[in-house]
Order: sequence, then structure tokens, then C-alpha cells
Amino acid sequence: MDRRRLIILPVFIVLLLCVAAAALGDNPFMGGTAVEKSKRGLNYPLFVKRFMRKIGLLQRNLNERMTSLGKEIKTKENPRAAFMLFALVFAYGVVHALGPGHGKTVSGSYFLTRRATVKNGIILGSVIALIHAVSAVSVVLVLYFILKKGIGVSMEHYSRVVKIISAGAIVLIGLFLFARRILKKVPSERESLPRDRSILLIALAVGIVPCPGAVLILLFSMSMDIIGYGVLLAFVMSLGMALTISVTCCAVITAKKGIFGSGEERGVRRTALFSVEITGAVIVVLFGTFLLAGAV
Amino acid sequence: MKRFLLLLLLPFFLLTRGELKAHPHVFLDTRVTVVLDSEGVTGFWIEWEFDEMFSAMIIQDFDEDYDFSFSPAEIANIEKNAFSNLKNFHYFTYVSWKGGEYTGKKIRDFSASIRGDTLVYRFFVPCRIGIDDTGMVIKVWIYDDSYYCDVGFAEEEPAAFEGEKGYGIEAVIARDERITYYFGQVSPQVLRLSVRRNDG
Repeated sequence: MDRRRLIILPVFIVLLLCVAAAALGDNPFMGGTAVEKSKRGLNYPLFVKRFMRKIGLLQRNLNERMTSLGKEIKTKENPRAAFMLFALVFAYGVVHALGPGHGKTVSGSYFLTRRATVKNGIILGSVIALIHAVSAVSVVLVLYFILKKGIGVSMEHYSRVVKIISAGAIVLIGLFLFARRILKKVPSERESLPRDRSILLIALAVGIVPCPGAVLILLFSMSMDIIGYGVLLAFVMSLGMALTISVTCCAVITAKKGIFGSGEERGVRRTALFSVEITGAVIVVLFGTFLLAGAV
Repeated sequence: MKRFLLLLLLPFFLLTRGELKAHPHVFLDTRVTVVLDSEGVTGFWIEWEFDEMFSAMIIQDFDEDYDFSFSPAEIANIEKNAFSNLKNFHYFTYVSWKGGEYTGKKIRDFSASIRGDTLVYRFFVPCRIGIDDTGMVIKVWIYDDSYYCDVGFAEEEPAAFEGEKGYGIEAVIARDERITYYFGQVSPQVLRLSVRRNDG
């Protein structure tokens, strides 16, 4: 078992090293390929659209205020502006992770498949957000110091590779979870809690795609010549995202516990629990396949 | 009962709300100039003013001599590397009128400039729309289907006209809830133009 992990780990390290970037991979100006026809058939209820609109507007305002505060810091050392900027970037992280992406589906589904505590949820959410930011910071800094220029463009060239690897890893994880649940002999309530190492692997597969929001913040602070601030801000932003992703994970864990309690695993209860756990694994596989199809 | 309600909530958390893409990273304000001649509309000048973060990225990447303005060579480079791919995205521009619509295939006269600290793109969408005596209603939507960009009409002078002499034009901007994109979650604004001939 441990030997197998030893093989998996280097694979992921190589993966981490070759990540020179998915961040702006979806950037339609540079590399997007989707010729998506407007989905005129699908129309969410007005309140959902209003909510999305509000989130969009909120991000627009935050973005404007962040840039003006950044300039203020640049022109005069203003501690109040710096503090405000950190607070704003944190809020931006929270809101930013509310949108699709950032690993909520995979991590939420993962906790459907197994027994876990709220603490596990918080750890996974935080590590995903952290890797998301570390990945963005390292990619941007490496490209900046090597290339000096053309960061946006060169990121495009690598984006596909990283996305394919990440999606592939998600599919594998889903299949593993599926097999694990099918072959499992111990009932869920006596199952051991997830180990930190397996949580780390999932976080790596999901978080490895650098956060585009963090990349933009970094590039902006570079153009203002406040790179130090930029790196700090990227991590503050990841704290905000950690909050959102962790809350999603914990919601799933708590809901599952609330539904199935901790009684004995028998009869209908057992069947229901089994179906939910299998569903979680299937969602991960399907989602990974979906991403893979989009990336290839 | 409580458990049952919780069970109903689960899919809500898990349903992937769209792809792992998008949700706006870039914000742009758009302006449209409607160009007319004696036959009717000949096309639209589209202008996009980007948020400062995206502007900083493009300026840093493409203003090669650091003079804070774009030379023709730099503009050509921007068009090639940070604009032309939008052909896959309909150039974010959708126009429809009675009997036709813009296919999103062709644009011309792309230019990029720096205004203050912000990046501005401008290009022409050729689109022939004949206006007869009964008048015509034309709708213009500008949005990014992938929602990488959040697009809104500029608050100041969102619409202007060229060669409009002889026409009476009414322009209204509203949110068009009938059209949705990004998996049905977002509706764009629409510029609704009622154009008629004054001389009759």
C-alpha cells in the first residue's frame, strides 16, 4: 500500500512541476476554443439570475476598488489603504469561490462517498485553496523571471496540458472511490477517517490549476511594482476561498450525518447510504470526464 | 421529515453549476456606435473599455517598448494574440433585426489603445440592414457566452450614431431576460434601436 503511494506521489510532483499554467486557460481572448451556442433553451428562474448578477456586480465593484487601493499604496505608503485592500481581497476570495470551479463539486462529492468529520472538510477546503494560490504564485513568478514578458500568452500554451492532467487525475480519483466503495467490507460507521495524505492528493488534483483571479491580482501588482504585496494578496485571497470551499464540504458532511445519523447499517438505511456513496463517486468520475472532454 | 428535507438539499450542493470555467474574471464596459448611410445601417463600431487588472496584463505583455502607447506593430500583435481568437466567441457581438442576424464571422479595423490606465479595444462589425419607410427595430447584445468577461453597457454614452441625418432613432438599454447564457444563469443587456426615416 505504502509503496503504491510512493509511486503516486512523484507523479503528482512531476505534475506540479510541469504546471506552467492553466490560469488564464479559459481566456477567450487568447485560447478558448468553445464555440458555444447561446443556450437559449435553458433559463434559470429570475431570482437565480438576479443572484448571479449581484455576484457579478459585486466582483466588478471589488475589482475596481482593489485597483484603486493598489494605486494608493503605490503612490503613498498608506497603512489604512493596505488594510482595506487585504480586507477587500479576502472578500473577493469568498465571493470568487462561490462561482463554479475551485473544487467544490469534487470535494463535496468526495465527502459523500465516505465517513468524515467537519475537521476533514475544513482541511480539504483550506488545502485546495492554498494549492490553488501556491500554484498561481509560482507559475507567475517563474514566468515573470524567466520570460519577463508575455505571461498572459505563454500561460495559454501550457494551459491545456495542465487541465488535461488535472481532469485525468479527477477521473482516476473517482474510479478509485468507486472501486473502494464496492469492495469495502467495513460498514461506513466503523470505517476509519480519511488520512491527511489522501486528502492532500485530492487537493492537489483539484487545486493544481492555478486560480485565474489570483493570477490577475499578481500581474496587476507586478505592473504597479508591488510584487511583494501581490504575493501576500494572493494568499489572503486563498483564505477567502478556503472559507467558501470548506463551508461547502462541511455542509455535505453535516447533511450526510444528519440524514443517516450514526445508527447501525442495516436494511433500507444501508441501501440508501450505499446509493449515496456510490452517487458521490459517480459524480466525481462524470465531472472529471466532463472536464477532460472540455480540455482535450 | 427533517432528514428528508436535508436529502433534498444535497443535490443542490453538488450539482455543478456550470463548467469549471469562467465566472467573470474580466470586466468590460462597452459602447456601440451605429453607422448609417442613405440605405440604412452599414454596421457598428464596438468599443470595449477593460478593467484595470486585465488592462495591466495586456499592457505589460504587449507594450514592448514601455512607452505606454501601442505602435501599429504592437496593435497587430495584440490583434493576433489577444483578440482574433474571439472569432470563436462571436466577437461577443450579437445583432438581430427583422429578417436577419449578424453571423459573428467578420469584423474589421481592429485597434487597441490606452486611455488613462485602461485598455480600449475598438473594431467595426460590418452589418448591412436596409431601412425602408416602415422603419426597423434592431437589437444589439454584447456578452461573453463563456462568462469569462462580465460585459455591461457603459454608463456614459453607451450608444452613439454616425450618418444618422434623415433618420429618427430611439435607443433603449434594458436587461433582456428572454436570452440567457452561461447555462441559463445570466441574461445580457440589450440595446434596442427603433430606426425610421424622417422624410417619409
